[in-house]
Amino acid sequence: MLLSRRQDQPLDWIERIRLRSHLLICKTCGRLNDQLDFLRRAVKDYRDRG
Amino acid sequence: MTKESAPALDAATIAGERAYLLRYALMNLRNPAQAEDAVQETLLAAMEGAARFSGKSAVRTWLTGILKHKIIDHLRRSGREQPLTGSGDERSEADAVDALFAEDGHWREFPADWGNPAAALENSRFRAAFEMCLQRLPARTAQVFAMREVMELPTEEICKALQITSTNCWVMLHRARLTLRECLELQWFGKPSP
Repeated sequence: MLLSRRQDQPLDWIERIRLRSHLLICKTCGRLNDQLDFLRRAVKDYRDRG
Repeated sequence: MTKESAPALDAATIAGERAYLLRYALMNLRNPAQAEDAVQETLLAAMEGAARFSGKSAVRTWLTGILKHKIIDHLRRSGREQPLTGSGDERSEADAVDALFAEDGHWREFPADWGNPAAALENSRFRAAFEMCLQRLPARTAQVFAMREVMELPTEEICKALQITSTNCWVMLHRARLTLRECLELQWFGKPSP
């Protein structure tokens, strides 16, 4: 949820620390984070190029 | 020559953006007739207001600005006729998302390694799969997602336009992303490369 909200709103410093330390131990979460970034890029690509 | 040079904006330039505008409208409205209307209104407004186009922004950016207003008008109108209420569709999607997580909020099944996903963007079959996954999102979720990711509106503005709470907005965006992610994994990234 924090990963998704990061895409919509800057997280506060406590949330950033929580997220960063969690990403250190959770490899899957890092992978999800990258995939969410890719989705964002893919939507724009589809919108702009069809 | 002291006369201000007219920006290069003629009917042909405006019409050249039509396909882009229609795709943009369709991603947001998901109704071909409504999308067509919104684009038509935009092109008319653009022709009438062509003199006001400063030439400082790109034609596409300027037209997109007009289209956004037309889309929000359409959403407001259809929202009044058919309020955004949850449907059975939404329910099953929520269940599907919940099923991905264990009690502690962690993943039941690890997301697969997508390798270098950016390369897929150049593949026309990936683009078709992506389009299908977008279309599979339930109406309400898709609408919030499109306002955020296609129109790039801040969440506060989306909440205001749809009269939903910001928490509700984030939950829907989160669901949209996870559902889309799952669909792409099933349809594309999880499959052995042909």
